Amino acid sequence: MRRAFLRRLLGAALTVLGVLAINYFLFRVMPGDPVAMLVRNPKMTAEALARTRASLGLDRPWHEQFRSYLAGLARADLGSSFIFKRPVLAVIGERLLPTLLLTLVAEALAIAGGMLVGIVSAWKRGTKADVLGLGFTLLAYSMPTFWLGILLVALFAGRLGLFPVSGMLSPGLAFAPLAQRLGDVLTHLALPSITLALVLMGEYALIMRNAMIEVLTEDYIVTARAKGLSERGILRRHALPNAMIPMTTLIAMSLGFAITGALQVETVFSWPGLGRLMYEALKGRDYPLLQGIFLVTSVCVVGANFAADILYRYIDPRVRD
Amino acid sequence: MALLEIRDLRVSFACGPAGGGRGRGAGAAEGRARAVDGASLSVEAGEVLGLVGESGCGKTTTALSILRLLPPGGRVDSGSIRFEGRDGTVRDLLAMGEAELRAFRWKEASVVFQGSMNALNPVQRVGDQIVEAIELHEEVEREEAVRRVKRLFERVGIEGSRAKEYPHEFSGGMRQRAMIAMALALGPRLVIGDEPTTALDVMVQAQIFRLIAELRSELGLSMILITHDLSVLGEVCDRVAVMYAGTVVESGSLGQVLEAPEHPYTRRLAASFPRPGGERRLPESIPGEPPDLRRPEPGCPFAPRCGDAREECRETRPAPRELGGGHLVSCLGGRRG
Amino acid sequence: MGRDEPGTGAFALFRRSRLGMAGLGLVLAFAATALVGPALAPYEPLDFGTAAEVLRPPSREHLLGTDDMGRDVAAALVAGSRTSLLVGLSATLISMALGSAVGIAAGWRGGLADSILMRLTDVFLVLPWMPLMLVLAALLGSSLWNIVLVIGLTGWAGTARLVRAQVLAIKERQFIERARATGASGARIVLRHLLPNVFPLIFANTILVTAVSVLSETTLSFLGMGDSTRPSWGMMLHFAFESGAATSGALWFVLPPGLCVLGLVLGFTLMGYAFDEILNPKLRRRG
Repeated sequence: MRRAFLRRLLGAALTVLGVLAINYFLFRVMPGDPVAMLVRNPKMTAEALARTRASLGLDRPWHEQFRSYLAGLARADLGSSFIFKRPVLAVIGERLLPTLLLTLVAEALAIAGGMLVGIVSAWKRGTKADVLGLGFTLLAYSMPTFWLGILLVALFAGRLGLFPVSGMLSPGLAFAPLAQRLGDVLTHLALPSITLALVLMGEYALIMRNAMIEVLTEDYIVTARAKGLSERGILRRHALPNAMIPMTTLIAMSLGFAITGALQVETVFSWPGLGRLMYEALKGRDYPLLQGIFLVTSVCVVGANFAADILYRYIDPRVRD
Repeated sequence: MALLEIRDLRVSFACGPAGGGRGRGAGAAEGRARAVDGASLSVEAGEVLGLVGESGCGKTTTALSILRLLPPGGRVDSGSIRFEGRDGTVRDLLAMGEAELRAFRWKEASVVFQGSMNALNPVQRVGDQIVEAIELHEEVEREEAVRRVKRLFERVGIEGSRAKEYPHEFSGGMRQRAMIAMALALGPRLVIGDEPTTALDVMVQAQIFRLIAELRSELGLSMILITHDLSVLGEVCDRVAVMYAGTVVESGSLGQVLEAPEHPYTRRLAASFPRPGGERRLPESIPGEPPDLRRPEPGCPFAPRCGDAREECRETRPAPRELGGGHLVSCLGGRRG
Repeated sequence: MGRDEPGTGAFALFRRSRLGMAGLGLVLAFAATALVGPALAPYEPLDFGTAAEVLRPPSREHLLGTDDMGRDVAAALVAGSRTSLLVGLSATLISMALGSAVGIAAGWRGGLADSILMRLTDVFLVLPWMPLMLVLAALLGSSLWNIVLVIGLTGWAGTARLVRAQVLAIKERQFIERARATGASGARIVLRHLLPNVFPLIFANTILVTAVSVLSETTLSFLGMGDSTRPSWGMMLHFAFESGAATSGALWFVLPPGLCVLGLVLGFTLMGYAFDEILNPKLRRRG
């Protein structure tokens, strides 16, 4: 158990190192001379250019540069943002929480909803409920996230006026009582989180359905039925625990997908998170900020995958030792 | 009456275009395949019946029909399965409602599934899976159920402490012992063994059969033992029923069926297995193939492969004939020469 | 379905899948539009209209109305189908070639090569690929072929894992052993024996990867990273969103491009789903 844990930890560390390498070489080596890349940015003054050139230490060999890059990281120094004129890490730090809130709420909704749809589809295979579930699943799976967001805004916020159009907090509420602020954040959160959840649900429902269908053909399901368990009991005590194994893997693997969705949803709803920040950074060609966001999201995903790996061991006894 | 009496059972399976329809032959008919076609057999209390035949002859389907455990697409078309309960009442299992059926399963009749099967849930402790069966049918404290599982484990030759382990930690033989312990957990009146030793190595097979033989004399078990291996019948069975293409072609005591087989199919089958103590020779295979279950023919199902078949055999299906002493055979021919 | 040629049986079964055929129909309809549509459209998709022609609802002159620059929405839609299919298919080609090569190399070689390649695959599998794509597009510049490259280079990891698993399974089969015993060279075995057997799986996967590639292209364009010299559905939606058309009620500018994306992606998804059900025997419907 301990050894397996350490091996996984080493694996995650290696992946992070890979991310760091990609992140570094992407920005410094690939486009040739990074200065040329910076020149393309119309917002750069000659003075800022010279400062950046010096700070990049371009005259030194690449491995030395990589080492000093790592050393900077160790000091939590991700450079300075062009458009905000502040340390990248501080800018990212302010936006991390809203993204986490949005993603976690959407994930929770999607996992619960996707499992429900998938289970019903598999259990009632071939019936109207299955066709309906499958139709929803395939549609959600093919839906461009941002477009769904735009439609929901147009309908629920624009036409019906039920929810706020954008942002996370209504202007003027910054100093309101906590309960009022919390309620306001929730009404702002509703549409973005539902948009993201609907898109994620497609994949979860599909995998849950397939996993359940496979599990239901297993011999131990026949054993459970022979023992006299009710159909509900079979589902809960035998089918579900086994179907959760591929499901856990999927949820962990699709975190990258969730981030992709969050990015689009935040852009559409002006949600003040990392995705929105990334959109701003892209528009302003703010490379240090882009690099920082890419690094932070990657590390989050690797971390979540590592956590899922550990959780997986508790769900499937076969991989425990 | 007998403990179990199956009369004229017919079971069919759907074979749609995407299902089993691609078996053999191009353009095979869609519709239903008759897996069991008029099978009749009975088991007396305290008796072990060996159910033999080639794979695909319907022996497992017949046995699973008793617990109404047919896989999706399967359906009992006609017939009756009568079972005498603990209190002496006789019920038709095919007419039972859902709740009654659940109470019947495992309590009155249990199954030891094939050794090659994944019959144990891989993510649940083996002991818990047996405790689950006990708690479903009896009002017992959990500790009492756990103690019972320990005793059962020890009886079938596994250390009681291993009840806490998961199936993948057991060897194939141990899993099968655990399966037997589970089948005995509620003291059922009938245990169905569906090729309980396939996929086990020969040594372990012998151990499992020894265990079954012991348990049977100790507990007075009634059993249906499904096998395609005639050589194991002598060790544990009292009576034998031979199935071919969904029907029981011959049944009787061990001696009647194995020593004086009357049906041409049984004779071929018996000849293809080496007898204990007899001379060793290569098993002789029966020429031809079993009939296509999707297109039942009117006559005797064995007629196309039978050396002695006459015109009559291809037209009328033979009814079971009593040869005396409970020896039944479904063949028009018989020994006339 | 013969064991040695799973492909032929799968295609015959596919023809009987209603969902799969519906998907194929959708894809073919878009392909036909992309091929002949631009020649038939009366407007040039990038021609600005006069001030009077800005954001007009559907009319006889402009069947689907005009956008915020007075461009004809229908003409842009037709031209967009060309971009979507071109980028989607080309990027998929790169992904599949890369993924298959890595998967076969890792599975066939085994050992250290396998470990290194799979570690790399894992890195690409967990990376949040949309940020990666956006960063790459920003660095390389967003020409059409750069977008293709960016999508292709980030989407191969799943395929590599799948192909490797299949190669490992096939490697143990008898006919490979036999080919090895007769002294055939590694390259020859891979080409003659391995590839034909991995092909059905690669094919089914290709369809699903195409769905993702089309979505990726649209998303990149929507986020302003597309090729601005080529009309695309994502770019239409970008302008629709930036000009506030969605909230102002100019739905003719928002709905059609989105529906097109949905339709094309759904077409590929349906086909992929049908193949998945055919190639995975446990999902195959009984009775």
